[in-house]
Parts: sequence; structure tokens; C-alpha cells
Amino acid sequence: MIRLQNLTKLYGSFVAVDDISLHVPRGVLYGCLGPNGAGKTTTLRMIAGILRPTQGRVLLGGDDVHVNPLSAKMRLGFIPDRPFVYDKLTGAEFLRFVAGLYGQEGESVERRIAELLEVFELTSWQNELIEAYSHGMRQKLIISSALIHRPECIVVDEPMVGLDPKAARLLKDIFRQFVEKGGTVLMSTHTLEVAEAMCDQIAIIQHGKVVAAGTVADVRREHQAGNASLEELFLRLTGGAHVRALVEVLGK
Amino acid sequence: MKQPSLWHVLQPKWRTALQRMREERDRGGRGKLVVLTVVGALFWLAVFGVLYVILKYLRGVEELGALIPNKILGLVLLSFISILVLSNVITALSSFFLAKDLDLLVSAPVDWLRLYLASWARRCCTPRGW
Repeated sequence: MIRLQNLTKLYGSFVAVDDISLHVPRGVLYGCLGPNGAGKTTTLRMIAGILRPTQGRVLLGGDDVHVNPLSAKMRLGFIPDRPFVYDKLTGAEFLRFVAGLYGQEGESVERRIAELLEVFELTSWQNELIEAYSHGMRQKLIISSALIHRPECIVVDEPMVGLDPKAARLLKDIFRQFVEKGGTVLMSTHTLEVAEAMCDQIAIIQHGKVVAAGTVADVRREHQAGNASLEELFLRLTGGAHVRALVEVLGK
Repeated sequence: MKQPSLWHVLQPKWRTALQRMREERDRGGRGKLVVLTVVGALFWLAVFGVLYVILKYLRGVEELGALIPNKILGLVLLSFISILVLSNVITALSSFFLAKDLDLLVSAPVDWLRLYLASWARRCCTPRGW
């Protein structure tokens, strides 16, 4: 379970995140949508404990990330939008290192590493230096590292970037299975088709505020959007409709 | 919760260092090392020689002979310490707040003191870029 209570982040006088409250229950895949600069990544970084909120708090399974960071972070697997990997480590060494950060070692970790590498088709690459990996392979390795300690919640920023269609499908299936087993996934994405296909609930963020939240059907109903596509709805809520009008005018 | 050892947090760094050494060796880096050592030794010998000649000359100046080298060496020492302190402050700040692996480490359940010590140890023990 992920709960955000009145989360606010200020950079000087600039309000990056403005009093966001969200509840992502267990067994739900939750999508965070919003235009560039809406505050999605800042919100996710606060959830991961990388940024300290100016106000409000983040609860992961009951633990406040900034009061009990160690126990809260044990529950979390975080996949950032621009992940870092150590180029001079092999894939297996990197996974062993991340497992160690979560206090896990020994035979069970080796089994888990083998299992994840197998799922992501990286077994034959496990002893190669990461510098030789392609972008997609690095992304798969990062996802494996987020799953290595069997987290309760996964927070992922733009998960599909750089993945081939097969890996993207695999990731969707993994997230779906993860939530079916009682896990929680909070992902931010720009790809509305991905959000519509994968997410049980969504929140649309604009200028650091949640402008709509719930299931896609709820959001449609609340904003009297009839059978509008998620894209139409998104553009209407984030002020993007005028862009479409402009394109039409310029196209004449 | 069991915390990872400092050695473990530093693991990517020493593994990277070992890997770089291995690559250097495979590329025939031993010759390069010998050349660098010889050039370095010659440089410092030249510095020593020039300074020795200057200081010896200054000591020969009547009345001020002992005073001038003392003042000059004091000034040089102070300048070097100031440059070193400034350089280390900048390096430390970039290491603590701008390291590329910071997000990975901070989002993991690792005590801040351990992260700080690992970062400090890395700065003290390895050249920049490792």
C-alpha cells in the first residue's frame, strides 16, 4: 500500500508538487499521467526517499519513508526514469550488489538472480560487463534489480522506454502478476495507451496537482466525457485541447 | 534489519578499479606505467634541482639569507594547502550530492552514515573517475 498525504515540494517559490494526496491500495496497478514538468518524477522521487518533501508524508505499507526510512525502503522497488548501472560490473555482480544493499545474501539470492536473469533472457549475458549491454538489456537488468528483494510495492518512472515489444509485453505481464499476488505498482507514463491497457486506476497530474483520479471510467463520468478516449480526456484535463485546435488551424 | 557492510557498499568501486587494472594489463599497460613512472621521477627531480639551486643561492645572500627561503617556503606551503582544501571541498560536494549512483543507493535501505562513510572512503582511496 502506498499513501501520499498532502505531499508538497517547493523549490524556492516554485511549487513542483502541490498538496497531493493519493492512496494506492494493495493489488492495484496505478498510473500517474501528466504532461512534461507536471511533477510526476518529483513525486516518485519523494516516494523513493530520494527527495525530502517540503510538507506532507509518504507511507509505504504503514511506514513513513522519512521517519522510518529503512523499513519503508525494504518494502519498495524503485525504477527511475534514468537508471544508473555500474558499467564495469557484470550483470550478476550488479544484482548481487543490489541484493546485498537489502541485506540479502547466500544461496537464496543466487537462486533469485538465476530466476530473474532467466525470465528477462539475460542468462547468457550474466558474466558480461554491463558496458556491453544494449539499452533494453540495461533496462531489463534494472527491473530485475528492483525485483530482487521481493518488494511489496514497485514505483516505476516511464517503464517502457527503450524496451522492445517483447520485453514491454513481458514487463506488463510481470506487473500484472505482481498486483494479482497482492503487490502494489505505481507507475508514471506518457504513453496513454500503456496506461489505458495496464492500469486499474489513474491519476492525472497538472502543475503539481491531481486534477483527476480513479478508474478511467470514473474519470470519464466525473468529467462528463462520455466515451472519449483517454487521450481526449487527458488533453481536456491538461489544457492540451488548444494545441489540437491550433494544429487544425495551421493545417488549413 | 541487517545493514550491508561498508565493504559491500564500496563493492562496485573496488570491482571497477580491479576491472580497469585488468583491462590496462591486457592492453599492455605495463609499458605505459613504466614510462609514466620515469617521466614523473624526472619531473620531480628537475623540480628538486631547480629549487635546490635557488634556495642555495638565496641562503648565500648576506643577513637575509636564512629569512628569505623560510618566508618563500611558508608562502608556497600555504598556497598549496589552500588549493588542496578548495579542491577537496569541491570534490567532496560533487561526490556527496552529484554522484551518479546516489539515487540507487539512497533509494535502498542503507543507513545515511554508511553512505557518507562509503562516499568519503571512495574519495580518499581512489582516483577521480573510478
